[in-house]
Amino acid sequence: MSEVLTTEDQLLANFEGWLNQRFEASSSLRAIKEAGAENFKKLGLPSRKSEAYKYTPITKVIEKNFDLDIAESPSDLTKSDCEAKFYQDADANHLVFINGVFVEDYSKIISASSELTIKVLDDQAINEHVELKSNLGQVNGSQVDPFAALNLAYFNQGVFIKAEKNTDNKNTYIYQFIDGSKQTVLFPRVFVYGAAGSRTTVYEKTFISGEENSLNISIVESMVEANAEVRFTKLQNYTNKAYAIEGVYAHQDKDSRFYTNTFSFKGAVVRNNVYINIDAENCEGHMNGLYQLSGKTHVDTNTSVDHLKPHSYSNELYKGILDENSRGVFNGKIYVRPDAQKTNAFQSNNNILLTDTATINTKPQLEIWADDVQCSHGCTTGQMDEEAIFYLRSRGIEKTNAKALLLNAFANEALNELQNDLVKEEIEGIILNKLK
Amino acid sequence: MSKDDQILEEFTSKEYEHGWSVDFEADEAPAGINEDIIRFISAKKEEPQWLLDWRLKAFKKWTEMKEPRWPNVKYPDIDYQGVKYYSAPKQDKKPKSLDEVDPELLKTFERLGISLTEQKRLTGVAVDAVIDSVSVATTFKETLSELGIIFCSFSEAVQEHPELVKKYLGSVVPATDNYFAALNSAVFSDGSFCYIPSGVRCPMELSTYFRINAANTGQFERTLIVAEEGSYVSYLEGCTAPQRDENQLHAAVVEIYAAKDAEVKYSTVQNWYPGDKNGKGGIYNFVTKRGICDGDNSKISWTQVETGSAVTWKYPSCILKGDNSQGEFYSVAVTNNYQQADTGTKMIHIGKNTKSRIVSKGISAGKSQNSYRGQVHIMKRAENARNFSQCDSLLMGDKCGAHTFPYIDVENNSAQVEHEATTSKIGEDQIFYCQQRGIDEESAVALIVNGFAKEVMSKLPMEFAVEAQKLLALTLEGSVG
Repeated sequence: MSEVLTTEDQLLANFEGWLNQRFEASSSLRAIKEAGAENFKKLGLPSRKSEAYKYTPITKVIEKNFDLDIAESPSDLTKSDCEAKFYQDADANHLVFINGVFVEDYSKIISASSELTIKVLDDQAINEHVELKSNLGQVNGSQVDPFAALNLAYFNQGVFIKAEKNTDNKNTYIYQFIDGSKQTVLFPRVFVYGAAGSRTTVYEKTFISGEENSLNISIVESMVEANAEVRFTKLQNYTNKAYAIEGVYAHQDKDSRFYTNTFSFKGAVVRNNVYINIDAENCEGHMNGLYQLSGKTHVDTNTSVDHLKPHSYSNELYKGILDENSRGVFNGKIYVRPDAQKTNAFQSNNNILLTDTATINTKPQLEIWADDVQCSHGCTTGQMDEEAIFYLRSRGIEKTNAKALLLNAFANEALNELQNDLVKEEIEGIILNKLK
Repeated sequence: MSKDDQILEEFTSKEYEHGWSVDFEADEAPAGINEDIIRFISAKKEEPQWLLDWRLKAFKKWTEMKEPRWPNVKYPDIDYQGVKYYSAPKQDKKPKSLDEVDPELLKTFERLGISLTEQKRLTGVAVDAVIDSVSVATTFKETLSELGIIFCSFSEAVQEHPELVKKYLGSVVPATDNYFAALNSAVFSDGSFCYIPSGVRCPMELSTYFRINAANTGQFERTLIVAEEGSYVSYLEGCTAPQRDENQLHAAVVEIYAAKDAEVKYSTVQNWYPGDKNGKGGIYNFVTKRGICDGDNSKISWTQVETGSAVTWKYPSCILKGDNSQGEFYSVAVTNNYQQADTGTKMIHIGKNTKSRIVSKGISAGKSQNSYRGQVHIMKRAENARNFSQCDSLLMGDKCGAHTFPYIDVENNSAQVEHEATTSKIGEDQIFYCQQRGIDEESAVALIVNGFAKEVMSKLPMEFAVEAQKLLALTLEGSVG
């Protein structure tokens, strides 16, 4: 089973065999995966001319850097190795993924199943949970991105997280361990289902070891039922050999709230697709993010908020600090469909370039078909304010410290929706460290 | 039916004012495009060989190109072989003065409200009128030539100043720049040429008036403006077309070259026939406009008021190559009924300390779609570049759409780039405020919308501002309900 990741056909060449090894002909998951492969074939890998991947020629990157086996590679990591990396939060669930596969044995799940179901996303889960069966791979936007389709075809043992009705749940941490001692491509998948009136909070963090290239094609899907709340936060502090194409797709029902935070610091090429579908009234959708990059890191953020129904609110704030030869790409879309009157949608993207070798490509896009709405987007790109630096220096603060102070304040705004002190402290630490 | 609905109804059922055609004999090429047609046009114009070669090269490239479909507009496929690429009002010989111009033709312009004689006497605006692709008459030529300014039809320029035309033609918009520019380069039949020698400040506004008259014709004019060192010119362009059921194609190219310390101001009031209220007919307006600030401290300013055309696809752009050069783009785009507009600008910052400013106001009503698409590109060498963009949209009614696609690419850390966009409708509180002070609803709407577009309108030259305001008022009265 050695597939060469060059073209769509080659990618799927051994798909049948891969599938046969793992799934019975009668498996419901098998049918879903076959549909995923079919969809991937139809969509094809993005070419240079695809608008969605205009500034990130991802297909080229993959062709150039990978010659991979799509088998999940085993790892020598032990349970205690993993546990050592857990956040010091005893009253929480800790889930371990190794090379894109959910390892239940290594995970620590303390929530009662009457409140929060956490189980392997496999045939059994699909047969037991009709809401999973009907929505897996169907959540908005995940049908239009070829990598989401590819993940659907190849993911093996993701995790299914379901908050039962009217439960307020403990934090759930997901740790992705990637063994980069040899080239890997991995397909982790997470499905978060927030039943009516529930509250769920999930944090994801990735650890990469080894010196080889890794390609992480990760998908998170979330269905948020009426009056439920889901918060999903992702920390991307990878290595210079790590390539990632990650998607967060959410669908909101009435009176629901969805929050997503993405913090990107390091990686070779990272692409984030964040799509929220607001398909009911009185919803709130929040997207926040920070990309603080250096070296040759390339982070491409592609977001979309689709307002389909009236009386909803969305807010989006992305901040970027670009140092050395890094490149930031931001494409934010807001759609307000004809029925979505009284929508309030806001989007803001602010960037600071620290060197003249850093580049930013930003495209804040509004598409509006309803008249009684308030929508705005703002986008700035600039440098540090000399006067502010002078002010601080005149008060005895050294130039580098003054700069760090100002940049830290700039970056911190992106942390506004982050409620977890442990994660917040860690991220603040990374920000400060990078400013030194 | 409420009062508002009535007003809206009245407005939406308003017929296109300029929708009439005059029957004068036209000298036409058969429909279709091929090398022979191009040779025919070129021969008709008695063009030199190099220009014919240039056209043929563009045509060859055009046949290899694909029609762009990325703009946010929808229209049925255009039958390029069904279009007549050359249609000239028939004249026995070239008129020497206005008195010799076909009186029928002059009447046309009078109906348009731009009587050449009238303008000559009253406003002091020099007009070059282009009807169905061919330049008809140019006023004030002598006054201008005393200053060394050349303002004439394109074909005349080819005959009399071939060295200038050869030097600048295609220097800003290459023949193969894009699909429609290539088509234009192959078949353009006339247009205006304007040359301001160095140090001359053009004493009057130069103006071109375009009109498509014959059925089934396309209009492919080409404007070339060259401003030499330290010169200044303000250029106006206006257009109308008769009302017809079929769609007509307008693919123009405008090139502006600004040398050191030169300043060019280009204003357009575009009022092509937009189609009827069911979206039938109307002009497809696919225009390439670009200026280059080649010398240091030069400046190019685009101002446009777009009210017509069924489909508009147009991005007047500035290449800011000289240090300290400036580019400006002010636009009001109004769409109604089934009109679609995808318009905006490109500001390419290459030189140091370059500045650009974009103010775009989109107003959509009826079932129209209005898009702003723009790019601000700060290149690596562009130290201390500065850009400010503002795109505001106003929606009237719940069947229309407003879209914004700004591309911002920054490669230099000393650049300061700001973009902001808002979309809203006219606030009830604003109207209430006006009504409280005794201003009726209709006037309140006009007041608010005029305020909305004021920043752009104030950039228009006097003569145009009046026309533009009238056009705006037509579109906007009573559209809030």
